[in-house]
Amino acid sequence: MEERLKRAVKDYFLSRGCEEVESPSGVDAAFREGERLIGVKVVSLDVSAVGLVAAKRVREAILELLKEAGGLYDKLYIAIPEVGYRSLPLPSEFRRSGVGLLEVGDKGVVERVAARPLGGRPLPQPRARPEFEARVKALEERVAELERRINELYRLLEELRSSKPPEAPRAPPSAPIELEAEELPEFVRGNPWLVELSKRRG
Amino acid sequence: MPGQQLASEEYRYRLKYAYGEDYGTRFFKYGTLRRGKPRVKSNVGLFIEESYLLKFFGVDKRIVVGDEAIRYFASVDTVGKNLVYPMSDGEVRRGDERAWKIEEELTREGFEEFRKEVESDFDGFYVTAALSAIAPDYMYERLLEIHAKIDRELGVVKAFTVIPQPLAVAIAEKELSCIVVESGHGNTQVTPIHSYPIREAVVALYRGGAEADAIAAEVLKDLGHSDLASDELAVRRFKEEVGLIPLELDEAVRKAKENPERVRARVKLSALDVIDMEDKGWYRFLIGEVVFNPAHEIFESYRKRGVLSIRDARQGDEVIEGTLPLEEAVVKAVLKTPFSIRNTLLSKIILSGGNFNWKVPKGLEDLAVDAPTKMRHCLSKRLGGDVNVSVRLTQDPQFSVWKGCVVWSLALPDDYHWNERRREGWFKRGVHY
Repeated sequence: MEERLKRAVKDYFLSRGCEEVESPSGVDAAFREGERLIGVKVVSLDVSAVGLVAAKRVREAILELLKEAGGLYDKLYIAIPEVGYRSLPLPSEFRRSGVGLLEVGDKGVVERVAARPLGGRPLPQPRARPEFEARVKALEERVAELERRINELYRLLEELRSSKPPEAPRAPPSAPIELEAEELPEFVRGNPWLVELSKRRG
Repeated sequence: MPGQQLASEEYRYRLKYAYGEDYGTRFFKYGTLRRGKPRVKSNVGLFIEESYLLKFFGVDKRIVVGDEAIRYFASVDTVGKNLVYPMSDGEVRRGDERAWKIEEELTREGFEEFRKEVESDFDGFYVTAALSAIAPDYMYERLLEIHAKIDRELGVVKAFTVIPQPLAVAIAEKELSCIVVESGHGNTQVTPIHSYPIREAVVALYRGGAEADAIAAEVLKDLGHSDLASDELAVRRFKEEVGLIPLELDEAVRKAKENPERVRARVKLSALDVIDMEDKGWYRFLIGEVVFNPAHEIFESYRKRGVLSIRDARQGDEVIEGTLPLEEAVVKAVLKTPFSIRNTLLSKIILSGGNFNWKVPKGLEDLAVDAPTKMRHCLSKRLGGDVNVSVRLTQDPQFSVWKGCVVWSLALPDDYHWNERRREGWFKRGVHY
């Protein structure tokens, strides 16, 4: 049964234009799709292994797959025979893990849950053209300079904060915040409207 | 020691950059709090038609405003049509673009003058403008537009608001509850104030200094000086020199006619213009009385001749007669306030504006009085002697509105944005414009 599943999976990926990778590690089959590597683990479930048992097996397989092959492939799939959704972990569990689900039935392979790029494997870097490299280098220098300035500003801000008492909540510009009385014109000094107006709120 | 505490940054900033603007019918008063008093410009503008002669003398402006306009009189042939007094009875008409242009230019020139005095921390003035208590909404909107535009050009208006002139007077007088009777050139507003202006109780009369000017001009004509009667400045000076407020008009006129020498006045308006009132000294009381009671029968002939054509004011559904005696206007206003504060209001009546600034010559104390005495007398007659009525003149009739404006600019919280229901609060750069 496992071989039947592997064959079906191989046919499926080859039909998508992928190239099979020989002697894959940590998975049962691997394919190259452009620059990306896709790993597939086949889980053969007995007819008797349905319901919670099947779901448990698949869940274990997901964990095992992530542990064994998580850093080696860009996308990972579990391939299973058609057993029905009720015998499987919820699709949200697949999505959270990033592992995709392929269901192999009489009509071929159906991608029930798409795999999420794992980002564990560094992509081979395309060789950049020399002029781009120069521009990227210049940009990197500018970013570094900006970072340096931001850090300097943060430092100055912290200095200012620590050198000044924290600003009090905006108080009415009346009693607590007065200039020396003799500096104020007579019509401002002791004017009850200063207190009255300071209470106004929108 | 009181007052020794250092000010917060915001308060210090406001002390430097609180700015007031009093848009009066005759004068525009403006400036920062730190100067202690405003600068004054005539609220007038002159539109200059293109002239090679003016260009030759370096004048390339199309409009000059304030007292500068007077300098160009001699250079401009058609002063009459180009000279514009933008305000009438404290209002600028909605569609009068030339008038609004003058207000905009006056406002801009004010900021340009004071911008020269700012320091490196300057981020714009906190500007409070004062308008008549019955100024229509569009005047608020137009002033906001003007200030937003000037801020875009000059970056000088950090926040802007408008308050009614009587409220500004109450602030300058340090009174939270009072009645302000503000009488300017074009109108007289009776405004009860109890922390806020009680808008529904405002009584406005379309009369003021202009009516006293009109009577003074007629007196000049009757005295044989028709040439001076058409000169605004001469009329004003004559009015200020001879005008008297009678305690009781009928009695004052009777006594003056019995003994004309007591009230005879000789006024030297210029080296060539000396006015001797001879036996017509009793006219002097008419000039002072007209603001208080133009409905008196003695003014009947002036009304018939159109010398006094005082229009009625419409406030909501009510029409208020322009000739309503002043004490009746005060009583009408008080009756529209809550019962609990009426006594307080009557005990603090403040008279403001040039119309109340009358002298009592020595020897005429039995006939002539100052404005507060007249007001107190009229109210006592109206309400009975046992009512506690207290009337006083604002300490600084000329600048009290501006003073109230700068206190408002100083104290109104920064985050108190414009509240349409209360009609107060800041319009702020970055929020409203």
